[in-house]
Amino acid sequence: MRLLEVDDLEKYYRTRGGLFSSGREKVHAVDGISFTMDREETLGLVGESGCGKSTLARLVARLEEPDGGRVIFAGKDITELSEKELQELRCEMQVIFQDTYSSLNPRLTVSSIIGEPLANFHVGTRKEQKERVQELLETVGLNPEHATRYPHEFSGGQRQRIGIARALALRPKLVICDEPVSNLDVSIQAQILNLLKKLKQEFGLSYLFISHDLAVISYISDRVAVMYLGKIVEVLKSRDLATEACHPYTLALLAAVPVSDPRLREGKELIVKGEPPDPVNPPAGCRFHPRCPWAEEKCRREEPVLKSVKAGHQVACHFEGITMRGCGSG
Amino acid sequence: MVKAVNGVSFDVKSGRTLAIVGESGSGKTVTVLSLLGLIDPPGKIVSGEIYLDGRNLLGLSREELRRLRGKDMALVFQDPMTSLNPVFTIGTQITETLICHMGIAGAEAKIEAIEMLKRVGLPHPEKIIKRYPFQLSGGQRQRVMIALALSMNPRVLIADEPTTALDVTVQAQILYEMRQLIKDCRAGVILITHDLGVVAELADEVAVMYAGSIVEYGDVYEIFDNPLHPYTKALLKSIPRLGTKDEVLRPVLGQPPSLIDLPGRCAFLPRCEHGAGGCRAGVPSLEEIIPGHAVACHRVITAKPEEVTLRALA
Repeated sequence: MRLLEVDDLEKYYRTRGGLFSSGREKVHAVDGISFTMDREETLGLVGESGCGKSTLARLVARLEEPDGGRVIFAGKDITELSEKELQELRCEMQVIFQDTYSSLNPRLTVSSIIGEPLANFHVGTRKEQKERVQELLETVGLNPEHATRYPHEFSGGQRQRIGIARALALRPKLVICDEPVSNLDVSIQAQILNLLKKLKQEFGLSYLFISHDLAVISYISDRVAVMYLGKIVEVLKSRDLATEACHPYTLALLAAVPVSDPRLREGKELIVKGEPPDPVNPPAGCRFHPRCPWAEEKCRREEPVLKSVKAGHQVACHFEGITMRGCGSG
Repeated sequence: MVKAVNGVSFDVKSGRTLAIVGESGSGKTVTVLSLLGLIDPPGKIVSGEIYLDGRNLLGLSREELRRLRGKDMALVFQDPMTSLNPVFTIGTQITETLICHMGIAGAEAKIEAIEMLKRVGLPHPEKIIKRYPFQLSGGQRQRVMIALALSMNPRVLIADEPTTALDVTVQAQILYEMRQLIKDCRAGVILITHDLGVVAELADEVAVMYAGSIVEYGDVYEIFDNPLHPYTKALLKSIPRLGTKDEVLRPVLGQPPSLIDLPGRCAFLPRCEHGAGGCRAGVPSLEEIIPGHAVACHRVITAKPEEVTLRALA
């Protein structure tokens, strides 16, 4: 069943004109993005810094006001909701942030942090709220006896568990995870990924999971959407990521993942050179063309649209990518 | 008292890359800062020896050490924004180093600087030298740092998480270029990282650190094919790999220990799946099990070599 539908969503930021600059410029952070998510599905959003993935997440939660397009969550267009209606939405949609230092109030105890959403929405009596906090702490693998401690007394991984417990307090349907494991050590990262997977099964959650790490994304997601300069360039099942991906940028990301075995490093080829261009002045035509090794004249002129190449697989490339994949591996 | 680094020994050969891998707080950075004499008080090196080409660095005066740093031992930090001076142009910073250590004149130094920037793959180096650090992207800044470090033809290059702050496609390019540059410059390289993927890309030898000590040391192929220490095994099982969605990650449980007053036993014991009574019998020392492969684990050390190989194969 459909849980979320994002339709042609746009968000521009105006850059502040400098002292001597003639005018202000627009940054197209999210530039006409559409996708859908089903119930109990995990959609991974992957892209490099500045591609607009966090802005997209904030728009979906309406932590930012969009400049165009619609976000339909459980049948309601949330871009048109009033403040009050929006509050009700927060019950069903929660966010887990990357930085646990800035997302947990240092002056509150863990039990107040996790209990705050319950208190805000008047869920149960004081006593029931307290019990729920204990239960949540146990669910995320923390010792319920530590409920009276403050965030700084915990390690990074434990603090992220607190953030997860808070997000789950109101039994949401959708949890937006914005780089939740990027600041963590590998062994702790794996613990949190496994916890998120377990919770999804237990509570029938859906995740919109944002990361710059393809390996993490493919581990946690059912489907992956690849973003480049404010646009989605490819969507496919994460199981097919390594074998079926065909947009040149996705291929470049795959090729950039460090090898898992030192024997594979010899003869490794890079697909792209250079760095992503300035989002203030994105290139004309296909945004990836200046870095694409297979770009042709058409790519410089026309912008490709995201179209279906087969069931569950969409690509935004003039050459449907597929022919290029043959070209890339051959 | 925090014992950040505890009885760590290793050697780096010229033209080879040693990767020191470990999680945050395992003592990787403190180890290399000690090599350079950059430990700030109240921290200090309590005991040990550091030899560079047969010379004990701990016996050098501050001035001698200062001359050595940057020339014979170069350092690339994780964050190029804080390691480059924001109020000088890139050109000034490189030529200053060249003039100071190599004693060449201004005009010559400028030509040399442009040449070096070209070598690390920066386009339009004659423009780059006129820019300030904030005008460059993270990847460009890190390339400048690498150029700066290699400009003196150092005997030892220390790279502390050189690609951690970069985007994946930029990381891939820098790793690729570093591999070529290391080959050409014949320096011994110490690479510090938490990322086993980076280790697999660059290292010849690997030292795995845990709680301030090296727990496993060996050739890179040996470490990836035949890890012996339970911590190394767990680390390798913690990284998600592409195309293995159905495989469940099996991370080490629990948290790394506090380095304050480490107990007199194996520091990994509370998190170890195979821990036994014998593991409480003192801190295990790093012992060579197979030629070129050392491990600090009571269980592996007491097992016969045949058993070790068999267990690793199973």
